[in-house]
Amino acid sequence: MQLSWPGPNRKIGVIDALALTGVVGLLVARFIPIARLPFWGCKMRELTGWPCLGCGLTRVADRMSHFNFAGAWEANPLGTIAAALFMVCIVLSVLHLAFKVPLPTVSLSAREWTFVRVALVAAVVVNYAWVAVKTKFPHVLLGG
Amino acid sequence: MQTRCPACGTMFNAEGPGPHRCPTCGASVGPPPPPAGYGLPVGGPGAPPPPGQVPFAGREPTPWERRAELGAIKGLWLQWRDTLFKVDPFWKSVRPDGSIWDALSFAWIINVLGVLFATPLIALQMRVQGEQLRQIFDQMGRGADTPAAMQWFLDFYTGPNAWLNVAALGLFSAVVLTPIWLFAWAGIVHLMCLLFGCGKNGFGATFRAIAYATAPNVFSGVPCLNVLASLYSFVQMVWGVMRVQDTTGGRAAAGVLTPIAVFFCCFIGCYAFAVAAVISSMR
Repeated sequence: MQLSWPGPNRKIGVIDALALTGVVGLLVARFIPIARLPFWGCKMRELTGWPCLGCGLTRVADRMSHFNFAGAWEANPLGTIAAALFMVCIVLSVLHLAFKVPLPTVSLSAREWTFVRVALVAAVVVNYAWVAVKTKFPHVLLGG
Repeated sequence: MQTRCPACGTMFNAEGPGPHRCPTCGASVGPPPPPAGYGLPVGGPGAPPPPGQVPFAGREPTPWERRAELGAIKGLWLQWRDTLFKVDPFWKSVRPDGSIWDALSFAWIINVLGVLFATPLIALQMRVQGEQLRQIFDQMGRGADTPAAMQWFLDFYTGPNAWLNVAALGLFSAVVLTPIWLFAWAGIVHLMCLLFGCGKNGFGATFRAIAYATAPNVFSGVPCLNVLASLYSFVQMVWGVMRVQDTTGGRAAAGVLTPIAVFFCCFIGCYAFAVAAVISSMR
C-alpha cells in the first residue's frame, strides 16, 4: 500500500462525495421518521421470514444519527461500521474543505485489492449470518 | 484519429499530421503536427506520462466545455446531441481529468430543462386526471377519519393547484437536489468502481461520466418516454464509466449497477406497498 500526501487543497474527491452522502443520510434518519411510514420495512422478511441483506440498516441510520452506537451495532454490525466510516468521511471532508487539510491518496496493489474484495465479501456473509440467526433463531444468541 | 471541428462540431477521421480541413464547413482544424515522441503515455491509458508527453492524448474538451468559443446554447445543444446520438465517439473523446464543475453545470441545466418541459404536460395531466383521482379517493372513503398527513398528501396531488404543486416540487428538486444527488451517487459509484478495479482515473472522471450521462433526463417529464430516458441514462453511465475510466464494459457495468441493484431491492418493495398503504388508510 502506498500513501501519497498532496499539498493543501480543496479539490473535491470521493471522500467529499461520500461525506455528502453521509450527511444527507444521517439528516434524513435524524429528522424524518422513515421507519414509521406505513410501507417501510423488510418485505422479504415479512413474506419469507428471512431477512434481506440490508435488514436493519434503517435502524442503524436512525440510531447512529442519535449517537446510539450500541443500538446500531445490535441492529446490523456491518451497517454500523459503514455508518461510522461515513461519519469519519464527514469529519475529514469538513477539515479538507474548510481548512484545506490534504487527504491522502491510497494506492493498493492488485494483490491488496484482491484481499480487500475477499475480506468485504466475507464480512457481508458473516454479517448476514449474524442478522439471519438473530432474526430466525434468537434463542441461539440468548443461549437458551 | 477522430477529430472534432471546433466550428461546427463535426467528428471526422483525420489521418496524418495536422492541420486538417473540416469536411462539413471547411474550417482549419488542429494544431501543427506535434514533435516526434508525443502520443499515448507509455504503460497504457491512465499511466503517468513521461516528461514531455501529453496525458490523455486524443481526448479533448466536450462541446459544453468549449462553450466560451462555441456559445453556451450551441455548446449545450452539440453536447446533448452527441451524448444521445453519437455515444461512443463522444465518450471516447471525454477527458477524464476535465472540470467537474462543467459537468455539474451541464447536468444541472439538463435537469432544470427537463422539469420546465414537463410542466405543460403535468398541467394537462393533472387537469384531465385530477378530478378523476379526487372522485376515486372520495368514493374509497376519504373522510374525517383520514389521517391529517394523508389528507395533505391527497390535497397536494389532487387539489385544484395540483399541477402547480407538482411542478414546483419538481423545480425545487432539480435546482436544489441535483448537485446533492449527483455528488452522492458519483461517490457511491466510484467506491464500487474502486472495488471492481475500474477507478484508476480518479473520482473526477467518474463524476463527469455520471453527470454527462444525465443528458436523456431532459425527457424525464414526458409520460412513457421518461422510463426509456431513465434506462438510457443508466446505459450512458455504464458506457461513460467504461470510456472515461479506460476499463471494460463488464467492470463498468458492475460499478454502476451494483448500487442500483442494492437500492432496487430495498426501494421497489416500499414503492409497491406505498400505493397499497394509501388505499388501505382510507378504508
